[in-house]
Amino acid sequence: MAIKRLFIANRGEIALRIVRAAQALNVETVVAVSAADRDSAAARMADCAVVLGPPAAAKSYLDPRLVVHAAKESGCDGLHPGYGFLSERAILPRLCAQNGIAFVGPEPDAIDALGDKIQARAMARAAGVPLVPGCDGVATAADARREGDRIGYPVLLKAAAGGGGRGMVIAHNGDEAEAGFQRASAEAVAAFGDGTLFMERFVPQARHVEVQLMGDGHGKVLHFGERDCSVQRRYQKLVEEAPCVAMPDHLRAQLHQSATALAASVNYRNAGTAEFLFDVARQEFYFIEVNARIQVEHPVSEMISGFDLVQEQIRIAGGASLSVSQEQIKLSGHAIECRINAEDTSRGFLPSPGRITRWNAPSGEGIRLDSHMSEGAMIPPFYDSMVGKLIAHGKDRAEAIARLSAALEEFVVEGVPTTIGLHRQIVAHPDFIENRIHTRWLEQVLLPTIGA
Amino acid sequence: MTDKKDSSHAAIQDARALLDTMLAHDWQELHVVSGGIEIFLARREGCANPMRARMVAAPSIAPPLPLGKEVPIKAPHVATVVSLAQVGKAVAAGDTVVVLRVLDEEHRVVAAGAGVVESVGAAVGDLVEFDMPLLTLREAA
Repeated sequence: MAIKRLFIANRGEIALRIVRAAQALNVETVVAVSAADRDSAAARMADCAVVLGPPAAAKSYLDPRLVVHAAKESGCDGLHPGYGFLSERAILPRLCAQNGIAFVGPEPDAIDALGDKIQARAMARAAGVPLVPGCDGVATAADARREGDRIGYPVLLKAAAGGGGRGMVIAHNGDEAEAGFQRASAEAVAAFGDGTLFMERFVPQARHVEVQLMGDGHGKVLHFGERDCSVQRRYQKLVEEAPCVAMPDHLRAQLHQSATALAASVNYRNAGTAEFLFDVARQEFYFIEVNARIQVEHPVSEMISGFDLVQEQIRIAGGASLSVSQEQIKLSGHAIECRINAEDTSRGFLPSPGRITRWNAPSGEGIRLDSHMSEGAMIPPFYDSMVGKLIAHGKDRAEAIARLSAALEEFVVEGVPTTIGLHRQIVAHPDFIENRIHTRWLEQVLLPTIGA
Repeated sequence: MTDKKDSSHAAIQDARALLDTMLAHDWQELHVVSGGIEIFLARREGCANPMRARMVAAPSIAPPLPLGKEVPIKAPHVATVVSLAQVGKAVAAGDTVVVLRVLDEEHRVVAAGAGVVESVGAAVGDLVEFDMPLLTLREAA
């Protein structure tokens, strides 16, 4: 029962990406739009568009009942949630199941379990996936020293009772751990009435590394290599690449094995990503979380594997088994993606919606542009301000950077400020070229030098 | 310089001077009533001319019977139509005029004011999208 008519419950570039993937599989498409997106590229390209509600996302893209009603009544037998919006809300696959619609994503129970950090960590531990070494019941200063010695310094001490960063202390040795305990514990007592502390290894310079997974729910889980997404601002990824050349091959193999073991332990179905922190100094990786959806940065994995992940998602949701084996997935070359937003970097990355008055998109060997924009197109103020994703592939990282730089130079967007200029500076920076970056590099090193 | 010819000559001169003033000041419109002369100048074609409006209003034709305004009632979100009030039906404020369904849940659309259903724009069983016309109400005058 392959999907015949697919409902796309998303907008922007990913809605267009899904329409194209469905069309390549001869699947009919119905795109959900808000009143602000009636004229979007995805709406024009799809067989049909349905206006759910007004521009406000809460009354359109974020209302699961409207989404599933529109899907069912427009004759769809499948629903793709894209990323963001309702993609990781278990209510959506539950409503789909109740209404005879195949959800392009994991089982709702898997979404719930993986969405809960504590459950997800327990599942990772049970599957033998490494977690950040830590201890969650530090009650005395002596405990703090003993656990700190065991975990290895530097360590982070914070209140076990409260979330957030309040009263957090970083200790670099046993003496600091004892002194830090006194301070953090007193603050925890004052704030939460409980002085018990949580302690974990602190990684001052980490890379964000993640593994692209795909399961078919029939017991098979494959990986499509890893991505390095260390260029971030406020935990938002700006540049993503594959593979992670900063990680030696034996560790990459362990990383893939850990991620697939975790997904296999829950018989994971459809696309997912296991995210890890890579401690470069110690050459260790620690599990962060699983994202139970297709991610923004999936194109870099597609570029190095030559495999269309979104098409495979649609096939698997229709009941098919994975169409390839792990041995058939050959990763070659290097791919880098720049997420380009309509933001004013000189004004604190202020989102700057508006109309595109000039659009000159780059092209060339190894260049891919995933965008729903064109000359005259509108970036409405109600949603994220993504303009598109520019991806370059080359035989190695140096060639990918060279092609990406040329493409960024060629890329002209007028009418709204964009982050293209910032991306040019990132890929031209010696730290980026020599791959000396970490998750706080952009904020600590590059942005201060350009006054952004 | 008090004969009729001279007074019209003066009016033309006044009009020229006013036109120059208007152009010099970047005014869009000018309307002067002075003595027995009334002048209206405008840059844009088709803007409301108070002199012409008065001329049109002058003939005393019996006004048409007062009709209340048409109030379109539109779909508040995507939904399937369960029932619609029939054309000609008189409704009071707060009366249900359309019943919509989203999955297994019904939503009532009510009239904001009293009136008569003038036309319907959807049929029972239709999937209506946000902002699509469901029916038009002619409000009581």
